[in-house]
Amino acid sequence: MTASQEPRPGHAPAPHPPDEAERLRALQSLSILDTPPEEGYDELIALASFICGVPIAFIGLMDHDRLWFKARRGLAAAESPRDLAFCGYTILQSDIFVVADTNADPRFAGNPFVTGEPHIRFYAGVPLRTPAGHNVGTLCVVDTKPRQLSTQQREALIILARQAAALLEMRRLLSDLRRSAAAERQTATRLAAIYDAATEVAIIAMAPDGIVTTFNSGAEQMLGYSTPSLVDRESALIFFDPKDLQERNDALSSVFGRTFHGLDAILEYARQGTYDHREWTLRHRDGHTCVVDMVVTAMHDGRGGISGFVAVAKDVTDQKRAEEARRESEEWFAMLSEASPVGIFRTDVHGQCQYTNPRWQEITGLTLEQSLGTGWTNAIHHDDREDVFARRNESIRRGEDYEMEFRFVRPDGELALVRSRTHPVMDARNQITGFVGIVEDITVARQAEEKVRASEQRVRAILENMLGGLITIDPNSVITSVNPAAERMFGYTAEELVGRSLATLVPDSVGDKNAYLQAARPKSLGHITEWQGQRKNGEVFPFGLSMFAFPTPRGVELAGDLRDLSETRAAEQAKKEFISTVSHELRTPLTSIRGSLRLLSSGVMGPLDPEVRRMVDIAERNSTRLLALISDILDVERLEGARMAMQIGDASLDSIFRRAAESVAAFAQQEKVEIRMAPTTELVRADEFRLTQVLLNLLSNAIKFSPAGAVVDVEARAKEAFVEVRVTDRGRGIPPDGRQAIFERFQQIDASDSKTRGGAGLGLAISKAIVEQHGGSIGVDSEEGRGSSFWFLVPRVLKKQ
Amino acid sequence: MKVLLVDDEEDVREIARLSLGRVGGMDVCEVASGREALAAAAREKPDFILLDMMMPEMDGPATLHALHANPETTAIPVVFLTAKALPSEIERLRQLGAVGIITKPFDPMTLAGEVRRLLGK
Repeated sequence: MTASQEPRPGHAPAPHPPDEAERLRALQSLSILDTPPEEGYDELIALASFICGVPIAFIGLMDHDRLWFKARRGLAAAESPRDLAFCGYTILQSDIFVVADTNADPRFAGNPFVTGEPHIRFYAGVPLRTPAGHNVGTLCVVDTKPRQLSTQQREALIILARQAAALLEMRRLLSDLRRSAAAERQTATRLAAIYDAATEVAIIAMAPDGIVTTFNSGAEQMLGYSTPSLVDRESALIFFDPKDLQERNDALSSVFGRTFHGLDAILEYARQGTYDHREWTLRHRDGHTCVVDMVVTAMHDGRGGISGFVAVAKDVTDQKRAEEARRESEEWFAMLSEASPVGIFRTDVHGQCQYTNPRWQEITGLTLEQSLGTGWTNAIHHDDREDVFARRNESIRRGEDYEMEFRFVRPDGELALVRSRTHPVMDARNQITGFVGIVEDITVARQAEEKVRASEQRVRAILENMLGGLITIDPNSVITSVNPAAERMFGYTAEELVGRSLATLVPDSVGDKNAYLQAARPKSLGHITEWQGQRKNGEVFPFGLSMFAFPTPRGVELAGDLRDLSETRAAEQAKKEFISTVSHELRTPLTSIRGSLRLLSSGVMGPLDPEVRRMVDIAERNSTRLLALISDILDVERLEGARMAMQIGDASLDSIFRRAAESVAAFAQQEKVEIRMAPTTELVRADEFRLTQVLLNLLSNAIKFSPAGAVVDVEARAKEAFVEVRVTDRGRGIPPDGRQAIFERFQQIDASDSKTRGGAGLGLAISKAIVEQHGGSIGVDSEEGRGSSFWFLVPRVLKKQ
Repeated sequence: MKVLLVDDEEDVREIARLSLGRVGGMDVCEVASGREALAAAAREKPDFILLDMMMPEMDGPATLHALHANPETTAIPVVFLTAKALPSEIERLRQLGAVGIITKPFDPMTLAGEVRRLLGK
């Protein structure tokens, strides 16, 4: 038989019932299709065929395209196509379906089973109905000749069908039962495995009274007890601190208004059908404690009772510690960040700012709120933005730290130059999730740097271009720098000199070079003094030296400012020789002139006519002036060369006063001027002879410009480290514009002055040179018409108290 | 007292001769050069020599040296006459063995007295 037949007259396949899908699922759940025959079903159809007196009977199950026979009698085939089966009609209804004569029924007259084998002429079928009401199959009787069923036969068939349906239901229950038993076995095995595998978790089952019934390996590890020593023996109480339990029980009591004891603390909520989840401190067998996160639930016995409790505990001690450490580290970070002298920020990978510290806000002038999100980028100087973003993108590409300098513009318009160091933050998969970084305000530092650089450049330019030589040395007289002028002066390059001893430049002729250098230091600090140097070519030459000390990080260094004096000296020598020669050449004829005049005026050559005598006096007086002039020129020349030999010592000012007074006594008398000297006990550091010359000079001038009968006062008084000597006259005074000029060479207030004394106007210039050589100063206070007061200062000898 | 006056300047010699002779009452003989002075000193045996410093050919110090080299004249005291009044110069001349130095221009009225003082007479 083929599965599909053309519709033909006298054959109409039954439609599917409305519950077809559910019906098929119910059939599947029986797991009966294609199973071997079973006695129970066979006996039922044997009974049916016997009761109805027919040759064919079967129990068929209606699959989606076939009718499969679980039991059959008088049929060869194991199944039949669904659309040929009479049973299709049977399952559409709830009781018995009878076709008394197939030939008389248009639905079946043309059915191949009617027209061909097994030549069905009679059919009666009852649906096999599941408790849920789905007709999964039929119990049928078939005959090859038309017939009728008695009422008893019909009822018997219906009962038999019910029996068959009961058999099917039984089968389903059995199969369910078997399946759930298998599942249970599986679950138990799986649970046991989980228990054992769960070494990180303690699983403790308890009987309703708290006696431990299950204790997994995790619990053994956590609490130090072995399963055999505990199970069915000990109460879970031993794991807890009674105090903790008491506290918890008290808390429960206040909630529920009853009294709780012992394990109620952990079991009460489970008893009430919820669960208890909290942290507990459990005691290990050896006494140490651990913090656990524990859930307690109740196990039910299926009759509404509680068969026990399960506690699952996870050791969170380490987690607690880690949390504590993290919290602490966060606090630390917050503290550091708040106090940090550098700006700190964090952004996400897109540059959205998530955090800035107070210093960052101070540098940029933004508030925290203004800095967050993209706010911070507004503060970046417009010209620097592109660079900042480019560097960040590069860092994202390479996953590297980066450092850069850029500018923020504060809200007040001021610029802040910052140096930033940014560090990408990576997640576990090495993906950049953001950035953290610091910024330092280097505005001031940079300005200072630039200032230093500018100053360095300036100093360098000066050093390289100045005409004077400059050499610096360290405290050990090792040369640390040499400028180009000094290189030229000594004929060495800086490379040849730096690092070598200053003694290199000292001539051998001075003997002990180190002693020479030692001597130079105190004498040249702050003063210009003259020393001998030796050039690379061996030439010895004089140079002027002024030293100054300056501190460096390596110690105090000394710098020497040097002037090559060789040319100056040569010129001075030439000048000196010239003046010496000239003065000699002048003195020789003057000797004859003065000698002749003196011999005439003395009368040695015979008495002179008064008119002749007057002429001789004029000649003699002017020759004296000429002689004084020559002497002055020599003095000035010597003083200006700063080489007038001074014999400085402690000198009594009083004796200088007296000696000067003696020298001018005759002149004073002649001019009718009184010299009044105030006694003094001061001692001065001076060349007595030269200082007398100064005082003499001032006295001569004072007498010269005093009216007859006037007084000239001389007095001294101490002025700190100096003594001030004053010579005061009552002459006509000096106009203000002349007070400076009179100390210059060849200056007199009035050309007519020069007639009075045999001076060339060099006296004050000489006096000035002498006083200055003593380290002092000279000047005049004057009031026109009232007189002048000349003064000079010379170093005072401080008397020991 | 006999003095040998040595100076190349004739005018100076005349003033000095008058100073020493007429004012000072000395016996004066004079020459115009160092070379002449050596011979005159040996011949005349003066009590002292007034010797000019700056002379052509043989100057004062050279003449003094030659006088000292000659046993006949080595004991004769020499007073220098010089126009160079520098203290350093004066000290140098003293070290050459001169008993004294008189600077030009000198006072003709006191020259003889000055010389006597220098000679300790």
